[in-house]
Amino acid sequence: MELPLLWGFMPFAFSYYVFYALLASAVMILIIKLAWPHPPEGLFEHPNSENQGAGQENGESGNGGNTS
Amino acid sequence: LNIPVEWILLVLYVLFLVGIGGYVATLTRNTREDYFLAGRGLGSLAIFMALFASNITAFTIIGHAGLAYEMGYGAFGYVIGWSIFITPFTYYLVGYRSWLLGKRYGYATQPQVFGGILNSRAVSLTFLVLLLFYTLPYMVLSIRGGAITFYTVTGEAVSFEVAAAFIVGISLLYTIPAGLRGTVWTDVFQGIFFLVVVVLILFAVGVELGGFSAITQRLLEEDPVLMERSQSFSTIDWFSYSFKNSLAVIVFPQMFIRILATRNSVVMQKATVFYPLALALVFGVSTLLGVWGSIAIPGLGADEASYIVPALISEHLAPLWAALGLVVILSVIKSSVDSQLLSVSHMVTDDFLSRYIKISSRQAVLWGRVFLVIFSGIAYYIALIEPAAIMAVAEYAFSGFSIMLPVMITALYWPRANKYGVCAALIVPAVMLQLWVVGWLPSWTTFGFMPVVPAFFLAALLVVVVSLLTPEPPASQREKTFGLFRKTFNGVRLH
Repeated sequence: MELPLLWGFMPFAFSYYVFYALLASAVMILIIKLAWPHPPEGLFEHPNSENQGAGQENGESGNGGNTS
Repeated sequence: LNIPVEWILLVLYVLFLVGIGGYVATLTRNTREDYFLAGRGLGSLAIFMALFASNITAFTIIGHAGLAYEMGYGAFGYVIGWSIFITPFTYYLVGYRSWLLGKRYGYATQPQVFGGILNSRAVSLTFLVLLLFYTLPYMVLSIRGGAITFYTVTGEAVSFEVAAAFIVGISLLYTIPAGLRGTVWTDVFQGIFFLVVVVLILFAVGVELGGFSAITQRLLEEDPVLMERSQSFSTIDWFSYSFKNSLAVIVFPQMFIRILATRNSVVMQKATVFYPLALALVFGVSTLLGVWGSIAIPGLGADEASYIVPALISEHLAPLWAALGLVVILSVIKSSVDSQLLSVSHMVTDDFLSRYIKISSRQAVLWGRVFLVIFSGIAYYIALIEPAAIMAVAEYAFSGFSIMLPVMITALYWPRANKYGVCAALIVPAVMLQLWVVGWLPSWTTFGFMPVVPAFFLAALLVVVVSLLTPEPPASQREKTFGLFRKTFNGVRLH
């Protein structure tokens, strides 16, 4: 069976990726809805002073915390 | 005075980059957080275009279009098939948890995130060495690819040496003063420019060749095999290639660092939703141009076919299009080189130098700039002399990045994973990959797959087995990471 060309020029071997891309976006939306929570309020407000990484703004040396 | 339009556009392009660099530099403070991570404040458009533009290389419109010229529409599925979903999914799977840790504990690179989770300097150092080992040769390959493209497209009006120096030089123009913010802002403008121009070129070439339907009709009559899923590669080859391409992206240090620099979770979520559509659009256009090129300019060899897009433009469109095409190609090359240079300089400053010398935040920025110049010089020199050993590493850098992913996933999801398992799973598969590539291990040991596939599963096996055979991490260490995840993922604030 010959499948019709999408928009008159795209063969099925290529055009199904249009739907695949839409499906991938839809699945990402589903993952966001079901399994991707925002961090709770206050989670980042009091960084653990015992293990600060390189992101400090106060001028001290930092390289990823107290790794041993 | 008769100056060719491509040189006028090239000068405008450089002035534009200098302008952006200069302006963004005024917004950038001399702190490591601001210089290397844009103050962890990248918004939706910035993070999307930064991830997207850094992921689009010269291969997109040179190599891939050439592949489509030879293989037909099947080239799209071969190169990009899985990546449409798997790559954005890894932004969620690995990116979000890493971002939470980075935001909470100040981690700014992979050596910091995974060294921090495992509380191990050895883990941190192993990550650093492997990431540098794969990123530096890959960066050289980008510079070489860009330089070859530049001097080919300009009809060899500039030498390879000058072209390579130009690519490295323009990347430094805004990266040195403005850091990550500079690379991201240029990516935003260049990404938009790239999308618009490439789509316009597609329509212009299509119209010039008689319209989309007429081209398809000619394909059906002259070379209908190009309309099918290509038969020129086996299922195992396809599996290996898609596997490697889709898994490597999140491990690229320039990608990972940009995810850590995201402002909030909403921004990251938006990027993952739009990423599949943008990837399909860009590689779709490249595929179409490659396939159409086989009708418009038939009979090219593999090397000539790589330049089918510039050939189509110069043969069928006005010189202005050729000039725009050149600027597009330069911009995609530059957007990967600048981010690779910055990430390498960042890691060496933060994960190596800071371990041995006590430096302030301001000094870290200064060292970062020094390393930018040093690594640019090294990469440029290697690009010129092209040592076989380094270029060989670049050829399998994607595989090298991919086989680090099992460790990253395990460390973020399995509290029982420890530093012994992680080090074993990083080092042994990397050595095995090297042995497979140089042919010291018999090819049957890969079961017909590319070496990346068995090396990936070996890494997954090793991290589990060695961790179980060695002492479990202290409870306090596990709680530091997984307590944070528990607070986030235990059913709070889902949409």
